[in-house]
Amino acid sequence: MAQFKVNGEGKTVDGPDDMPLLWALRDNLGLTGTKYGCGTGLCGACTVNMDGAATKSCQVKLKDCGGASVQTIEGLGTENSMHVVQKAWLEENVSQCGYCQPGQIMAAAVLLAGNKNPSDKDIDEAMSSNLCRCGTYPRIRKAVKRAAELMSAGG
Amino acid sequence: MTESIDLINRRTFMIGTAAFAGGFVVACKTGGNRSDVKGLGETLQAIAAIKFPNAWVAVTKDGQILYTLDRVEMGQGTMTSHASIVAEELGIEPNKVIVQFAPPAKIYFNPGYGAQATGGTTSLSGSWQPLRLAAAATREMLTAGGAQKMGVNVKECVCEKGKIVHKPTGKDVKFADIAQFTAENIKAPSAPLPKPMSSYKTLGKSVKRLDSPDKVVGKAVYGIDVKVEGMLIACVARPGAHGAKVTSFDDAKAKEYMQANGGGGEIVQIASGVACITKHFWTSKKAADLVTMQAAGGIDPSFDGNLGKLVEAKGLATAPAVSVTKKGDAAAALSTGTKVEATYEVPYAPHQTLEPQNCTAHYDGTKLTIWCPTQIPDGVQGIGTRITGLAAANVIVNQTLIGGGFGRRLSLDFVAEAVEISFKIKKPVKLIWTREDDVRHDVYRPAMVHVMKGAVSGGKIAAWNQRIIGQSMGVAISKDSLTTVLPALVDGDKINFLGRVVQLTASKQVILDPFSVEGAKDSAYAMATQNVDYHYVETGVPIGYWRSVGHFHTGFAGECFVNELAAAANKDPLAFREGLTGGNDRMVGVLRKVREMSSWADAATGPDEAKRAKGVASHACFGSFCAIVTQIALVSGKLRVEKVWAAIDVGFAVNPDIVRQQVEGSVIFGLTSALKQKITFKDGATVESNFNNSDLLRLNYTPDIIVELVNDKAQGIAPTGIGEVAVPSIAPSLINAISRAGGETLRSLPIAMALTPMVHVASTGTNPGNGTDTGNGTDTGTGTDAGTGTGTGTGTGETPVGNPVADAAWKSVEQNCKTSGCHSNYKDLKWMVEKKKVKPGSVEESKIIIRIKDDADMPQNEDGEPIPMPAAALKALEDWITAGAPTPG
Repeated sequence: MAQFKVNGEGKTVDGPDDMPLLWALRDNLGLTGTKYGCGTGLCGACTVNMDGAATKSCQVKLKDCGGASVQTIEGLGTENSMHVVQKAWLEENVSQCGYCQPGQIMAAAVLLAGNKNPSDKDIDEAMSSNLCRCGTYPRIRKAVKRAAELMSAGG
Repeated sequence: MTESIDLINRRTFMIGTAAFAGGFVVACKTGGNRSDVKGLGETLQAIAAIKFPNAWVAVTKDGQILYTLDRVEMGQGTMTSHASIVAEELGIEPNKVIVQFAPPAKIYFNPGYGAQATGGTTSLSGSWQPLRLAAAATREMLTAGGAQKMGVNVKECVCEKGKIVHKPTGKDVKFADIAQFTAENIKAPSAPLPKPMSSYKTLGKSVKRLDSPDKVVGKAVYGIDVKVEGMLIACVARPGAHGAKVTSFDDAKAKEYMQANGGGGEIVQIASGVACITKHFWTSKKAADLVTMQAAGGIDPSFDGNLGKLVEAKGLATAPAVSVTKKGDAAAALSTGTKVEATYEVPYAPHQTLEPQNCTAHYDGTKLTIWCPTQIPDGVQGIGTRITGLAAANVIVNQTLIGGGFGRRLSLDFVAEAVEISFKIKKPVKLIWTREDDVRHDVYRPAMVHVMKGAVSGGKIAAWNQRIIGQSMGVAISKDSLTTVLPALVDGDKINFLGRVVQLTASKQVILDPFSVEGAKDSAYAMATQNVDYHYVETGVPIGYWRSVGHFHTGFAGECFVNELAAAANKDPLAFREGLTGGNDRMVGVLRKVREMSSWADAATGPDEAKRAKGVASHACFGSFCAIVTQIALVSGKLRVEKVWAAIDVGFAVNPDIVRQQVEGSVIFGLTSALKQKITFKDGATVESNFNNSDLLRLNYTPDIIVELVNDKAQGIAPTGIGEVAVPSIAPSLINAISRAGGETLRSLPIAMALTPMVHVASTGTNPGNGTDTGNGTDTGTGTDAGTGTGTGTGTGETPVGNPVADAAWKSVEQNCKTSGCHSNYKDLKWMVEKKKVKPGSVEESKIIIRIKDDADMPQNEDGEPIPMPAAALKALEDWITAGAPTPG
């Protein structure tokens, strides 16, 4: 059992102590935008913003979530009110199958929150732990840069 | 929760033109929880008011355009490209088309496969003409309806922006105002006329993908996201060894765990293992991890996946083989000019779709409903009928979005598991495979070995001898199809389908199928002599379709060898190709384009003093053409892939940016395979388990990729396809570049070199060339497999002979065919009978093989109607096919 905030709302999740946050989000809270890809923290499909850090939610145990503030893809922006990263993702036509993209977008949003003008090297560091099987990496790189531009333009 | 639309009973729905698959309209059923389908929502509520659809395009009472997508969306962009075709014909914006996935139905069959399969890069090429006709018919009907309602001449009216407009007066009526009127008063045109390509406003432009908005906000629903009321989640513990069966298991600890963590839940044994079922994934997975088991059977435990070693040990390079292509005396021609010998090898490789395999099934005693990410929904239905005994009409299949397909979702092992579990517990169950399940129990790209012997003389290919060795896709697919597609088919379809399976399986002695040799038979190059043959070897490893299928290994070996021949002839490899593809304008076109794009003649440059070079490869497949130049740098012995230029000819590009997406993705898919992927076995089980030991290419290693299209605006060239076209060329171009940079000439994958990440000049300007291959994390394999038991597989490497079950079954087939009179596949079966009588490797046999191979269409009798085959013959045929190939264990 743990109490924490998800997308600004207080939640209580009952489950085994070792259950990863990922499954608390998906199975208990019905937030399926956060994806399961490997369960070992190696693919990044489950990336959420946890207390300001891009976090692989499959690697955080429920018992360690108490008091945390978690933002998932559902809390980042909506179809009618998108976050700049989501807007940039559409502009660059990034998604193919789209399965990894919530994790990619959450990682990019955290990167840009702390770095308004990331270099290629910064992007490499922030984004290389997120896998994409469709191979959208070149567009992800462009979209992160585009999002930075949109941000600086007040987007 | 369940809607059912029976269009067949609505008189006004009949389009009835020959353009639509024989002039009949099939019942269009949608069922189950539709939250899994993009954009339907409330529209389905209004669907009872559908007015005059054909099987693809429907107009609702309120004037909305509903498109039933008969191919799946797994990232390749069908949803957008198909909707754009409909939109173009109807003069509306693509995002105004509401897309739903088709249910299994014969009318939606992929004409190339006789099944409702999405694969082989056919989604656009196969639908281009029928879809334009379907949409054009809808436009013509609406236009006629609008004109009649306005009382004006139809020839003066146009269909645009959701209205019918009378040009001379500017009067208009909305679709919504004429939908019902049109349905009641306008007959379907007998010969609808699609718009001329020169008038296109939408097609040929890079319309943004329609599925993107839902995908970037996390609303897109994949199979793994399906929710059904009362649903439980299952995880399965399986024996590790491929082909092994559980002999006993101990679930005491699993039960104890389930009791201590929420209670309830069930454990059931299924064909593939032991399923643990609780309310949540985590508890199901943990319980499955605690199941221990003993298993027996499985593939030869000594086979480690190294096919090259096996080929050498068994002397398969010179063993009897089936002739694929024979032109002149290629063996004798080896003595002319400079001789080159090389053996190429590609290993077993996984799909690793990022969405692991999953399927939701609900059997309630009278009906089975399935939700799943599949590339072949009628196969899903077939599995449902086979396991439950229900009629196909009572097996409802809901297609979901797919988190990566690449051929993996044409195999339906995961569907069978989910259905079996729900059938046993009679509750809705979602089965989720862990990543470890996915990597260890994949249907792998087969390992293949190519033994090449060639000669060049006077700058030309004098001799080309190619021996292809490996498992048969035909055998794998045939056996799979019998348990998937076949059960859902009826009567004549079943016979036709079995005929196709027979064609693929050929005989147990000599097996040749298009998927194992495609890309090698018809070379793009002029050759004085050419000899290609294929030796079938069975290892029992589960194999399946993998993006670009046979073209991956034939393109790899063929293009690497062309580069080696060019080097032996002291020719520039790009000029060498251009000199040998004279008769093929489109291939020449992409070669010229890539020469220009890559500044081929100029030395490769980069941010440091590393040794660099460019390499080239090209391959035509799936009706399209691709040429790739890759630039690499050798940095202190490490390999950096820096740039890839790809020239692509898919004919008219319906959506150029989606074509580019697919090429970029294919290059990265091919690079992952070239640099990373190799599946190995220990004690019959897959060693690799997760991204720790089977990683994918990551962003920091991804080169710059530049894509240009050739003929993309050519209105005279119908669009072919792009999903797989660029995959085969990347590895050979990379190997060529390494060789030209002074590195070793490599001949097997993955490339055994340490990697160094990409350097982006603009932002860093320095050379971090000492980087190492990071991003792999640590080995945290969580292993659910236990107790692999003993392997008693049927040998490796031996061409199977003297299988008494197969022999007996074949005799029965033969007898039944002879006595059953003329049914549609009698001739094919006769070929098989003949084939049994000819000598393996003989000319006679080649002729038969070629007849089988070249027969692209299903054979029919004189009236074009299949005559039912006796049940006994059908059964015998099934038995023969099943027994015809060695079954592991």
